[in-house]
Amino acid sequence: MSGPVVDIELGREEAKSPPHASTSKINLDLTRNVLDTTWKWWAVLAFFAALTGYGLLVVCYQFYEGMGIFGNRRPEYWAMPIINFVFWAGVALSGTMISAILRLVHAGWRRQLTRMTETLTLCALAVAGIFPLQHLGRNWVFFWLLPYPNERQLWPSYRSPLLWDASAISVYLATSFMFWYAGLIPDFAVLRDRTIGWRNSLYTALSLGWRGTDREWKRLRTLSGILTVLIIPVFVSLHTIVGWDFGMSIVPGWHSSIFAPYFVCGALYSGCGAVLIVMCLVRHAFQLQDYILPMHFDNIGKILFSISLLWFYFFAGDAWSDWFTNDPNHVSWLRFMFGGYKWVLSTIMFFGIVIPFSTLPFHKIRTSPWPMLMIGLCVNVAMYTERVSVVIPPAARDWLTWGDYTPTWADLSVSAAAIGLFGFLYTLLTKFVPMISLWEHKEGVMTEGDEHVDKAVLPVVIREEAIS
Amino acid sequence: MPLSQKRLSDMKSVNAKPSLEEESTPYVRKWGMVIDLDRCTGCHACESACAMENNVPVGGAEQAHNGRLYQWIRVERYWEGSFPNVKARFMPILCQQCDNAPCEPVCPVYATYHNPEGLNAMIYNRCVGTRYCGNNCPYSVRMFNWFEPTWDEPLDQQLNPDVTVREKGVMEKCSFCIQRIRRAEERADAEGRDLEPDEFTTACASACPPNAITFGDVKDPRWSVNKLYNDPRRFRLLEDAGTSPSVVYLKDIDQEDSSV
Amino acid sequence: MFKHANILRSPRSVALDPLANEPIRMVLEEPSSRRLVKLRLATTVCAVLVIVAGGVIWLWGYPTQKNNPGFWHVTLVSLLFWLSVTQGMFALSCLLRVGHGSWRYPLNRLLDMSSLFGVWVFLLLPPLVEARHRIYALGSSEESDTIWRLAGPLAWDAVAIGTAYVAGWALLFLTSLPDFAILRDRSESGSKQERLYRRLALNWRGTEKQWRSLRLAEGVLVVGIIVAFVASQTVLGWDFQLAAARDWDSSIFAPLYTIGSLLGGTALAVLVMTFVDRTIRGGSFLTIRQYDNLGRVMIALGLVWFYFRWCDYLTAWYGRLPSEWLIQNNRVTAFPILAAIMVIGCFGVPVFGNMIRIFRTTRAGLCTISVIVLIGLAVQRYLDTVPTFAPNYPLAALKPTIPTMVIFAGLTALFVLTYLLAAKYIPIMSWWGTGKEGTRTATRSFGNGTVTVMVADPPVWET
Repeated sequence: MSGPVVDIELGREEAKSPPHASTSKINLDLTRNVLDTTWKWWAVLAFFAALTGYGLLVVCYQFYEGMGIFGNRRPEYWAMPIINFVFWAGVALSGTMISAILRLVHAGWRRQLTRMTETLTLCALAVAGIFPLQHLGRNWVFFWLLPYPNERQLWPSYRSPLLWDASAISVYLATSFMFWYAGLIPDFAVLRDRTIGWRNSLYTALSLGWRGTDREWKRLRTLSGILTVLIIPVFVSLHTIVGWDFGMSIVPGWHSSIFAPYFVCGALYSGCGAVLIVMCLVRHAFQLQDYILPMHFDNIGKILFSISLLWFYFFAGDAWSDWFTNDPNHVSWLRFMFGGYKWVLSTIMFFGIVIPFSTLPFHKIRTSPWPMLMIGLCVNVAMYTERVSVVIPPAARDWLTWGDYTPTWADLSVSAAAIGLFGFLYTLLTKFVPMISLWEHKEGVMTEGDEHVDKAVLPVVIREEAIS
Repeated sequence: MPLSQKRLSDMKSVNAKPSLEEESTPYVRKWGMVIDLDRCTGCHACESACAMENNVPVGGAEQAHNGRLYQWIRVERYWEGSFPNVKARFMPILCQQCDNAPCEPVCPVYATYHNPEGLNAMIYNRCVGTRYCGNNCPYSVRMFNWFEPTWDEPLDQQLNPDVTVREKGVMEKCSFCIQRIRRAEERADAEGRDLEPDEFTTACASACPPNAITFGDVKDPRWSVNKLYNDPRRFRLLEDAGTSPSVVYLKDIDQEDSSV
Repeated sequence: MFKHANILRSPRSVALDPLANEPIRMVLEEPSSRRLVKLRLATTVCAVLVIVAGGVIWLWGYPTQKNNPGFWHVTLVSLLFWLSVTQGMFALSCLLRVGHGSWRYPLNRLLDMSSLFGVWVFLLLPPLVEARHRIYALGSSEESDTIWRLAGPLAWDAVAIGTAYVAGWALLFLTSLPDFAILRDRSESGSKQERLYRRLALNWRGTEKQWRSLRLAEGVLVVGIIVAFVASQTVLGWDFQLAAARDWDSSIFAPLYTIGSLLGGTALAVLVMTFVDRTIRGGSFLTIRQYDNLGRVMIALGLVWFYFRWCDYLTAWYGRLPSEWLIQNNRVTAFPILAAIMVIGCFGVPVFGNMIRIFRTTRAGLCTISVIVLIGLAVQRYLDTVPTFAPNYPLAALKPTIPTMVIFAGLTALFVLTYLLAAKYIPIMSWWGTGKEGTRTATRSFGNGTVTVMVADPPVWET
């Protein structure tokens, strides 16, 4: 398809508002983030690059000095690096939720969000994947964790949850990437047809010769259908396995059968919050106010609210069932959390429960982008702190050894650098990838219409069949 | 007894590893240790001997303050009562060489495994430093090399050539002085004989002034450790954890305690 | 872009549809003589079973079986099973409301009616309480070295279970108000029927204000029911399965049993729905879509159930902590066949059976699957309560006996009786909800394909 020859009139009878305008306007609006570059983009990129560079220096120092520069100690053998890993792996669950789960339940409004959230997933996963390598004592032999044939005939141990982790992350990364890339091919074709020079060569290569024929679209839909169904067990298993890193140990407070769904729920929660942040920022940065509507924030807000309830249930269940045992081993970490760590607990409760519960039930707040951004930030602060409360207190009150943990400057630097790396990757990708999927948006517009029922006019959509 | 007559409490888990007392173990030799808490005076000689024997790094005051101890055996001290009826109890805790070691299944690279002599062996060269084993040990006996181990002069001249010096990023723990075990076995082999009972012992056991620590082969009744292994005062640490440790402790005898 | 008109039905056409009025007509008029005979026979059989079962509990169980763990075990399991499954049914109804699936409208009344089982639960509460006491009393026998803990004040159980049921009654009543109003308007004036419905309808006139209040109340109740249901199943799971077995604190039990209840509710819903489908004359609004979607719900719930169960098992297996692992493993070793039935019934059949289209979209197929699911869930509850009772009793003592099976049959009969009695007075499908599906979704063929058209943003209660 080399571009529309005739402008097709889309949309409702009355409104000629931008979302229902011609395809050329849609193309213009949604490719603006790729084709136009302002100084602001460079500034943001430079900022994140600086932050990442700093983190890189700290990691080099770690190679030189040892793990001792961090706050880890006995008995908290796992601390900030692992907290970061779990947090970013959690954020990475957002894209699948939007693309796959909402697709299965025929929610057409997700179309405008899929691209930016799938990009969010990939960047967050890339950041998350670095931490298991960074927290190793001997990082330079990290490849011993990978199953490759060698002359010593040594294989890694699949009995260890860490290997399950490695597999889960690899599989999820591969599937998310496939999902993201497959959905990008038609958009790369649009860009190929609208650019010259190095961009043209790049997009010609990336669009894999897409011509937009019926047969190609059919194949794309089939692939999307298969991936939608397959990626759901993968995404559940990813955070399940991260939860099992802790659940399979015998540390009281970690050895809890609810950890798997608890972690998945927490991941969905922080992922949803991250989606809100990304939605608001991308909408503002690239003037996509006509495409990302208050309705989107409203719907994500409702999802966030339900997840917050579910998360609270799992959290309370975990704490309560350990409290219930009256066994000193199980109770001492709870005492610590309600005692010495009560500020951590209060942070979680305030940002993760009080704020969402008091703001999300209101329609007015749910439909305003900037308040939703704040709520998304609060949720992520709460979830980061929650990871702290999951990782540190049980380790700090181990069977025979207790100890208190303080993060060092190195810990905080690496955590900040993780945000830097994520920001850097995401900002970079906004330059090469349209942040709203053009073809999905057009598909959504095409399937909308108005229905006259007696005297009323109702907006209707053709329901998309995820698996046809 | 037919299944229907059995009670749930009669039934043992089919997969739980049998403890020494119940069934014959598959081990040819099984190393065990008895620590008599009544004899322990808390002098810390075992700690020093172990550190010298096994090239355990010196952490320094600042690292100790940060909770980074380098002790393969540690003497824990508990105070009971209040002045003037205060009593201190001492308990040396070292790697319990558990039969059902929780540190073994979680290592992603097989750096820690159970050897045919019943020891939980550590392969320093293979350790990648994920520290999962350290988390999973309920006795917290595993030490991690947070920095490159250094010894100020002249301590660097007293390193034991039989024992590896570990580098930073590697986990280590008590090995029941496996170098002494191997030395004794090799010597016996070279002399064409079997290992004699009580022919050698671990560093901590040899250094202990009141002989509170006894080490030996618990499958061979000629070793002196066997007489103590089934003493009525015996107990093991953290039985609830199901780790089946090879280290047996003998309860302290109180003057006022009439039951012992 | 399509500009068809009249793809969706108008509410007016739905209201005048004779199919929508069929359930109302069934309540207003006397059933045909053949049907009357069948109904009377069914009611009698159920009543007899209930009375016999009641006799077994009150006259034989209390006095003579005080120390028989087997009796209490199976009685408890039966009671809890029916409790959870009926609560699961109307919780499912609320969850479907939240999910806005337009296929739910014909089913709502059916599912809500199961809350009426709660009336009997209050009668069954004394045996439940007694069972709880017995658990602890039996457990503290001389041979026992377990530490039996009181799970919490009895008030918690009562409050949690009670709130869920009472909220369910409220939802049923409020959503039936428009139906009662129609019944009041259509019955002969002055008759007993009219008097009854006039009182029940609470002055319902169908004004906009009344509709608004109704929708608001429905919204609040739906959320409340979901919360109360989760709390109720959590308390039941902890109190009866976990409380007494020392050191066994599987934190996933509460969610596991909540999902199990929902799965059971779905299965029971299928059975009730099939029965109703066959009794409403001239077809009904229950189409293949309801069966298909309930089947899909079962797939999702079965997968989640297996996930939770697997988490429980894997955590115990990996850690090998004796207190946890011995319980997990010995249970399976002692009752391998039952454990297999549980897994097949709660996971294998609902997930893989429903994936086969022919099973999911036919009455016979889906009903078979549902029956197997219910059996699996009952076995699950039985197996999980064995450690609570069993450490010091021969396992043979815990096998179900004839009296305990009579009790289970009595409870089943109680459930059927509830529906028979309720359907006499409350229309089995709501008039105002029944045809709504057609006003929200419709299928059309465009050329070679069929598409489903649905309203873009269904109106939700505005907060």
